[in-house]
Amino acid sequence: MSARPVPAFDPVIHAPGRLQICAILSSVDSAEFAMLRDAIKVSDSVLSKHLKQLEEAGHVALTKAAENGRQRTWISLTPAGRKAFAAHVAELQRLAAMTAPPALGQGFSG
Amino acid sequence: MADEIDPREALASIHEARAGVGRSMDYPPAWDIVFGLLVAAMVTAQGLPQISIALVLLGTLAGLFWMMKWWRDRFGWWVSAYAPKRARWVAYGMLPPFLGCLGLSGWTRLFDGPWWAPFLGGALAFVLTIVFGRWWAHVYRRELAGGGQ
Repeated sequence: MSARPVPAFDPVIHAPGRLQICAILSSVDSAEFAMLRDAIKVSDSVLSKHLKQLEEAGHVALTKAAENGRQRTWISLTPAGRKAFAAHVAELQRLAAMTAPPALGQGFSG
Repeated sequence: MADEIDPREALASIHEARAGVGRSMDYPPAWDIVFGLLVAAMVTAQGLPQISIALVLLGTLAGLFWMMKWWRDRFGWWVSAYAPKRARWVAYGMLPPFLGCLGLSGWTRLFDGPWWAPFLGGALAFVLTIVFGRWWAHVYRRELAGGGQ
């Protein structure tokens, strides 16, 4: 049983591209550079920038490995990155609940 | 900063990214069959002499390593069966019947059981691996399609 994450907004994670990268990485153990690039539909250089920022924040770890005669980069969320992402999602859910439109009939006083 | 964001859009983007991983997980039935055969070999070997067990285990581990490499090359990602929050319970659920198959197979070698016990254990393990493998994938896909963390 894991405790519910304490909501915390993380500006490094929140940028659209990085949010999607973290979403993908949170659902797998590790993902390859090309897979992430194709999934979020950005160029190599844009993905590299996103990953650099996430790496500097300690959210992801990059591992380079020679496979089939070429260098491939595998990316995974660090334990701290997983916690930060879970907390970020919890905060988004809290904000979304706050701004939820009232249910039909709610607030009707007549 | 929190005032500038649209949490619904952000959550939808997370949902879409995760669901995309699930949609990409389209693997052939041959995967299940090879995986089932490797597990069946591992189970059946428990009824064989000690040296054969070691050889079969080595071969099985090599096979599992090759399967993992194939998956990573094809999909560009990897996830352990015990990692996803919901699907991991399917993997845990396979452990008792799997241990039962191992026990059935080891019966012959350890307690002079019938000759067919290891083969029955292996055959049951083969079927269980395929059933639980597909069930795990189904639960994992649903978990990803459901969004969340």
